[in-house]
Amino acid sequence: MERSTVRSRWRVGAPDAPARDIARALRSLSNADLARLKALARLWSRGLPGGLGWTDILNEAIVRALNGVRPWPPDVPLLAFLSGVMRSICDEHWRRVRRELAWVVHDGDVSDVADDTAAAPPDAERVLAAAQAVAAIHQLFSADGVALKIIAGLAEGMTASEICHAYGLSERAYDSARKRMRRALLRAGLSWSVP
Amino acid sequence: MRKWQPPAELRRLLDALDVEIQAATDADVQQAYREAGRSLPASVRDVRRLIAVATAGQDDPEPALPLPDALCRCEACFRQH
Repeated sequence: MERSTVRSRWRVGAPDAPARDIARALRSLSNADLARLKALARLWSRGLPGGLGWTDILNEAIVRALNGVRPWPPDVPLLAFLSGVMRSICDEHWRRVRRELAWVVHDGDVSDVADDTAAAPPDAERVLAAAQAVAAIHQLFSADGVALKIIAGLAEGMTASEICHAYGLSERAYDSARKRMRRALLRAGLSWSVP
Repeated sequence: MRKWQPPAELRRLLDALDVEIQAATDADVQQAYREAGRSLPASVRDVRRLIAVATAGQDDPEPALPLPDALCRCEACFRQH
């Protein structure tokens, strides 16, 4: 885990301390941390349009963190922070694609296109990409029946206890399956998306 | 019957899987790479390189010590010689 990368507060009065803090923390990540970071970048960037890959998303997240566009909150683990930044970047990218598509479809009039992607009905490309990504996640766990049940529950927004109750899983079976899922996700980090 | 909404379903899944990846222990990572028959250091070399390039120029001369501490240490050093 990345306990060592939970940042302590930087010294007041050192103007570049946050960027230096982040740079140092990034460089001191262990191999296991880097594997987790790569898996997170591949997870978020999967299916992005425009040929963007995990390296683009991770690089952009690091740049935003370093230049202060996205400040690193104190006491937030570095990987959790970077994962959140990557999530935002991917959301922004989808929003941009949506606006560009609307620009083409509505011949330049995008005044009625909502900024909030979550509130607006998703476009066909996004629905297709999402459906493919959901299918790929199911495929990833296709050999593990219990994991598939957990995935189905998670997709419905169910909690752990709700999943156990709905599928008749013991706590032990649930925990074992989640460990297998974590390893599968990390292995998928090797080949999940095209860089 | 409820309408299937892949983007919403994917968002919930990604959020849950994000938590799982972050919760993976070092032992989980080692085992995952062993199972895949891949070397962990070799497999993360590209991430390390990306970080090195992205953080280039963020160097400072005494990274282990905050500046005031480093100055104090230098003064003590001069006094000794």
